Amino acid sequence: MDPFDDLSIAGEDLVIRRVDPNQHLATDRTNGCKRLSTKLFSASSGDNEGMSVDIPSLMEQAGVSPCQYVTNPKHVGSVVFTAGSARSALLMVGHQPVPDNPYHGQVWARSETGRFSKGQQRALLAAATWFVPISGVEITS
Amino acid sequence: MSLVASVYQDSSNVEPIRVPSTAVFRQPIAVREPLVTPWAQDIKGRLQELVELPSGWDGYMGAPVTFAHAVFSLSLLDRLYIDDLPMPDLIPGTDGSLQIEWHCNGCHVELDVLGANNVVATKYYDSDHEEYVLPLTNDFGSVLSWMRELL
Repeated sequence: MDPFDDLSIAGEDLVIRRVDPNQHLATDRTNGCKRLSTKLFSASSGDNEGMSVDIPSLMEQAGVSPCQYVTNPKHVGSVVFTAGSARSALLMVGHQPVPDNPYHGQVWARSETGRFSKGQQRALLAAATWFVPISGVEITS
Repeated sequence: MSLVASVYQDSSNVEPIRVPSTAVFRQPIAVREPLVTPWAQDIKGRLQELVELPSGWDGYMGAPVTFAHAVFSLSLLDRLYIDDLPMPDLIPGTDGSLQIEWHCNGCHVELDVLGANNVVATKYYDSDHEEYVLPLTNDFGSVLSWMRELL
């Protein structure tokens, strides 16, 4: 599927990005805590691959609890940001169901490589808030 | 059965990184004498963990860190070691890449290892909104000066 900006996903609609505390956390020695890494917000490899997200509005329409859907023993936390904040960072947001996740979406960069710039990663980090928080972990940029 | 690739020649006390059996060698691996830093064992342990991540480790379609990224990162950190600097965090990307990062003293240094000799280095501070970004291939001298600010 070619990257596209799905305008049926409104600017105020949230998208969820799951957090693996064993992989996505860095040590903030200034503040004595763990923090999310900007690398959490990066695209997959392969043609037209973006950053996978979950779209909670679709879950709610289907009567599925977003919190329960995205949380499991490995991904105990998750963050949300608005589709509008992604678009403000010159990214595109679209619904892209996959066989094991009908609520799957993608955030795509407009660059030729498909990679997010550091500025885009930091922008998403700055826009993110906890959906399912991980105790003692800060979201900072 | 896992393949075992020796990263270093004449390795006596240096354990190799084990390559998952699903790995594909895409380019030659440089073999040289190691500089054994205090970080070496912990870094190799973390890299081993990252190359062994299962597909979909991120809850979506995340790929494990590739062996090429791991080997290059190990070599890079060999060269960038500074006494008293804490070991960095190694964070996997979803595309097989990884990021090396430190957050100390209100200063943040991130080395996004996109490939061998293909690194985007970023430095930013808590105190202002300035951000310094350097695409790097072979010369990492400027990163060393950034890293000294972390002390």
